[in-house]
Amino acid sequence: MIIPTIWMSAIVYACEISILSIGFTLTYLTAKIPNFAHGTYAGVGVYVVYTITKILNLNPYIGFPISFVVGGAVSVLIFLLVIGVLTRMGGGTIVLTISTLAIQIFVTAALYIYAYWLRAKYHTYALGFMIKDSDFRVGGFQGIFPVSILICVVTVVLLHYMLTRTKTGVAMRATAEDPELSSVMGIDTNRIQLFSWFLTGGLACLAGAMLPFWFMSSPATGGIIITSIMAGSLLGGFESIYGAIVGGFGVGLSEILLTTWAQNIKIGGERLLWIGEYRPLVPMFFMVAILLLEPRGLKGVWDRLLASKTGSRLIERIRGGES
Amino acid sequence: MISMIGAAVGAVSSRLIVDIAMYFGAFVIVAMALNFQYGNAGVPNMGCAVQVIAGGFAVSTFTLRLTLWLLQKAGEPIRPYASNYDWVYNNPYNVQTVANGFIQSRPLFGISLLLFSLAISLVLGAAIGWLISLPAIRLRADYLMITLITMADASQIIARNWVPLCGGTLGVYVPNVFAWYPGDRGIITAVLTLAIGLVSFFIFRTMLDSPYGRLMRAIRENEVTVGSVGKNVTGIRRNILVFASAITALTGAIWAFYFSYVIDANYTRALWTYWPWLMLIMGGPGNNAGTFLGCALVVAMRRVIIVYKWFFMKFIFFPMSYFEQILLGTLLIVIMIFRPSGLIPEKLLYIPGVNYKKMVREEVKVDWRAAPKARTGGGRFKLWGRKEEGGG
Amino acid sequence: MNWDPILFWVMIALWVIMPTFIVIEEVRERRALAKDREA
Repeated sequence: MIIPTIWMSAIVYACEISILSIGFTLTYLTAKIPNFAHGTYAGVGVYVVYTITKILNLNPYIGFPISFVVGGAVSVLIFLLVIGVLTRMGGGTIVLTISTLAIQIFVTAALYIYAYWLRAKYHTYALGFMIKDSDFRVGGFQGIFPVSILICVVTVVLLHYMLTRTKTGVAMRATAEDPELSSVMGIDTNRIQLFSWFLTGGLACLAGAMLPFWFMSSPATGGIIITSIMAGSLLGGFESIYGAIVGGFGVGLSEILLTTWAQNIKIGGERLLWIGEYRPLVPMFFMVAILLLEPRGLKGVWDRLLASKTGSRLIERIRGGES
Repeated sequence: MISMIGAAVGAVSSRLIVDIAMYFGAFVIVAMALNFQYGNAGVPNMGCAVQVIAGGFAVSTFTLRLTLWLLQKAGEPIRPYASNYDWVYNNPYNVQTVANGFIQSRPLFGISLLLFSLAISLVLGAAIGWLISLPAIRLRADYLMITLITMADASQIIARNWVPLCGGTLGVYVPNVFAWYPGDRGIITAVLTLAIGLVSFFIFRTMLDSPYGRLMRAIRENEVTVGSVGKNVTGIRRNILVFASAITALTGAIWAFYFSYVIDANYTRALWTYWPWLMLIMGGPGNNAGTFLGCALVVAMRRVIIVYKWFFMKFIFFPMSYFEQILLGTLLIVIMIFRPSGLIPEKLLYIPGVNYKKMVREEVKVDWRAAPKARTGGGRFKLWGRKEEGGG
Repeated sequence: MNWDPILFWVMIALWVIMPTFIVIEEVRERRALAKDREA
């Protein structure tokens, strides 16, 4: 089965963005703020994998569980030091969002410093790299292609299972909806908060760990990728996790596919090669379009469809068929 | 006598002082406009970089082309600039040799070019303000911030790639409108910046002390009430954004003239969004004094870091800019944790004629430590005035 | 004639006007508020 490289690259990217979008939406659900630092957690994952591969010379795939733990730890640390403190002091949405922005600046600069330290100590060029050569090949594909799809599917399934069946997951959803009522019901909101931040940080780091296998990465990657993440989350509806999956996947796919296809359009005999430079504009375009047309994203469209006449008729027919 | 003292002082440290004055002047305008939008109207404008870059575009697109066209009409030996390639390639010769030489002997032309670019940047800034308010103005605070930040990023990408705007990755030189000035170009640009800063300070102050200022603060606190009274909240916010945009674009134009060069790297999101926000939050949103203080502190800090770079380089092995960024992030967080209302907190609005005695007597002291955790809802725009609840 | 030093002092003057104005105004307002408060 021959899959053109562009589709492979798009699918890998889309899987990563969708995992990141899920994390972003999860943070928004539990902490009620858009976490601008989410992309930089991915940046941390990038550098964990880099350290493991180039410095410690191990198989890069070992980096995945390590980056999950590291990401979760960093996220929890940030929560304890900054966001928890600000929330307890009664900060509003704007204060918290600005603080996540500050965290993004801080972590990006820290990653740059780390890269420079690596360069000074180990004489490797850590400011822009890919780990393609350390990857294994499976039946003609580069190893990351099936691995990323696998990880994405497994994450989605596990998350769904956790959020609907396990006690912790249900507690997380309850805390997200109404923290005071859930603490009355006996849920330790503090522990649940810690857990959800650990989870989102770990997921983001995991997705970030997958990035260098295919794409050029640098310390600035986290800051650049945050727009795609936000667009993906917004596309799916800011407050719906399943929407984030679809939205993230959609934005990731379109970012790469649309730019490549647009580049092949011939106008006056010349290909529009310059469109490639505008690739970051695709998620922004999505964002603006969604905010103008349907602010609740795909989930809003889905809800509206269900509530409309065709939707309700469909539901009736399904229900009627069951009983 | 004065000129001798001036010359003595000038020789020693004028470069540094002029530099500080220039940076301060430019940033104080942006910070005051930001204070106008966020501190008073509650519109968290994270996209200031777009507004500034609009001014830069005004200079690099309109003024430059106009100058070249006029010079061509006047018969000066301008190399062709019609196609994109020629535009950038011939740009150094066109501007530095021909245009600057032309302006050198005609001060009136230079000044009129300057006024023209300021006017165009006002218009362009207002247009950009209107554009960015289109999708964003109805949104809640967090959506608003997201949209504006991405627009700031988008503007930088467009600037970097669309050549007719400012020469793409190479940038364009713009004519030095002060070529006729026999002395240091930096000083006269700094004087101009500070003059514009003074004028805009008075403009903002007048607007803030007027009924319109009260209206803005009312919208910031509780827009539902204001809407129910019959004011068009969205329209007012849009007006505020457009107005502040126009003034911010002036800074972009002046920045272009200071460097005599327009390139997207001069208008990064970090420089024109993060630093003004730090200045605003450090000084205290909501009053001009706080903005001023914050601006002075931040500019002083940055310049000191640069001047003493040799001292820091002994300990650290990475470029200074990352150290500055870490400082920026840390300061922002520290200020928000320990002093969220800034160094100069906002005071009660002083309205001459209103009897405060009656209102102040019923002041309720809220101890926020004992209050229930404010997680959602209510505390949207209230990050100050918590202790003064019930006072104004 | 050397304009530079003159402009230099003009710049300093402009730079100083703004904070003076701000300080005077703030002090005046806060004093008026304090007077109202204790009255």
